[in-house]
Amino acid sequence: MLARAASADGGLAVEARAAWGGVARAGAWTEVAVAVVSDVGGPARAAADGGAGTVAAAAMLDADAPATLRVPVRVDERGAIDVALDGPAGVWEGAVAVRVAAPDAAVVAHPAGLALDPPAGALAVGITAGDVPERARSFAAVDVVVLDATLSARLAPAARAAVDAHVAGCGRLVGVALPEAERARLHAGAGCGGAFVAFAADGAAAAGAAERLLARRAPPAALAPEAVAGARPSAAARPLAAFFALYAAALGLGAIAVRRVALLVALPIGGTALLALAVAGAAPRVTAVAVAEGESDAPSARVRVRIVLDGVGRATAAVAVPSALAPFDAAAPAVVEVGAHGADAVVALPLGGRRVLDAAGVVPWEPPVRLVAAADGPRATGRRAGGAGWLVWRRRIVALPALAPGETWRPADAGPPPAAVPPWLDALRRVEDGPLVVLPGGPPALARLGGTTPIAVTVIRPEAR
Amino acid sequence: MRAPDDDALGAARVGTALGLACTGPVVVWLGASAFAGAPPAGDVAALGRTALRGLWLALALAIAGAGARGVSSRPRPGIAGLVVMLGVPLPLYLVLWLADAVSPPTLLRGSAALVAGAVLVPAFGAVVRRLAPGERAARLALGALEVVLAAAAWRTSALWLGWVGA
Repeated sequence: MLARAASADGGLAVEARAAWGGVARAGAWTEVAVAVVSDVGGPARAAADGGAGTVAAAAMLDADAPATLRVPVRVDERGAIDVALDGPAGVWEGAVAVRVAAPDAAVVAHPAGLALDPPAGALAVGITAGDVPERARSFAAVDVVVLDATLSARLAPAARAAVDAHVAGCGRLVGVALPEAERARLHAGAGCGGAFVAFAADGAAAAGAAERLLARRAPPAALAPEAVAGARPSAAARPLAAFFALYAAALGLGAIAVRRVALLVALPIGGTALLALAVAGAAPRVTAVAVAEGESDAPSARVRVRIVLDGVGRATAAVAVPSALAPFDAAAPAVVEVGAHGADAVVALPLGGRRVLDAAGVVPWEPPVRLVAAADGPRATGRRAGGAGWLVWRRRIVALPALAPGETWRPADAGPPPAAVPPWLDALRRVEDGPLVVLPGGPPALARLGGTTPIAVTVIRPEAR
Repeated sequence: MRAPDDDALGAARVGTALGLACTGPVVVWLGASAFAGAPPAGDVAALGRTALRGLWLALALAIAGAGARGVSSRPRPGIAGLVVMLGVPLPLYLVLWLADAVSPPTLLRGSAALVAGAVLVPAFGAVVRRLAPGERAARLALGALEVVLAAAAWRTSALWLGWVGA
């Protein structure tokens, strides 16, 4: 599960190791930790490719000081991750073998020293603190994480933050003999009302808890960013249509009215030059759509983002997402660079080309509205001044007024639906009983995505604790 | 008798109209199929290549069918008119290149082949007209030439479009 070697000139000692004890899931993110010691200090860049795109991370190395570069990577069925390290003392290339779990087998990652009989049909993987990835998206490789006090105490701060984000995103976690304070912290930060966090006294009880958690399915996201974005024609369509209409009119008029052959020759040349000036170097149009969703008593929101790049000319676009959402799934032939700032990629786009980048994660968030599903119907209470929105309840849509802090509102039993409802909201109404509050706008962390202001929608579920 | 300038202008006008007739439908088809909807990545390039093949086939048929006498009865204005016709799709070539549908060498090869046809067909028509024993025989021979050239352009399109790389 690890590759260890020195570079050809001996100035670089490298050890690459896959997260989760080398167990991965096809199509899901995991992580490679590239530990390096270099004779010479300077910049280093580690790149990993598991067959589903290349991701790279950079760091500054000090001479003879060990450093670890952690690179999130998605693997495919072949079960190998190609890793390359370009450091100040040379280049190292290797491959890390991973064991790809069967699609129907649940993967339970537990502390290596904890005796745990996995649930039937599950694959148990013993892990150490170094096996826990530092990005929440890399938790997609496992179904249940079992954490005991020893392992928890040894986690690096970034790995601990990733565990918190995993739990906040409704990921399954079983805590074994954890201190009370940590249990309270994990439960308070958990998404889905804490339904996917359980605590146990020992390994035997943890196996049972893991089995119970595996039987639960996280609620599907109410809204997908692609539903909010809708189908959009190519950004190049309008300018091209306008140009060719004018060009045809100019040629038609020219064929009738022009008295000199040279002008008829010049028309296509001039038209082509004008078109080249207008679109050849035009930057792609970037559209970002973000949907944040969470329970109204949760301290964080689960976010899904779709960034669509539309080629208007023949140019490149730099796209970035913040660290909480990194890395994005790059369907485009681009290298995704990850770091403390998040993830970015430079995507080359021809005219009419379209690239879609998806990202997901958890961001800190205090819902502006508190929603309670009481027996006599839902009620919404303003937490802070915010805009108006909608309440989806019993397959109908009710306009939700802007609520002042502390102001409580209940929907009327009957009444006309709001006059103008976006098509995606109408689609949501057809499948969701609710109650759900839907607000335009999103958490502050989503103010800028991919270099643009996103179309953001917030879905607030009722209090779950 | 018409002045040479009038002949050239008339041929250029006919060439412009022919160029519009060949290019317009291709642009409309490409716009409707590749740009009006929301295509997945790569579709525009594939549709662009199809559009280019269709355009070059239409231009080749126009050269074969109208090059000998349709654009002008004299060879030099005829050649000029056909060259004007071949200039009409220049903006479309730019769009196809920007969309990664075609490479500059392919565009150059295809355009060179069409220009060669635009020079040779009127010249060949002039030779046929000169060799024919009378006006009626010349008309018959030129008509036959147009049919043969158009049929040849159509039947061998896979060959010459493949050669230019379209």
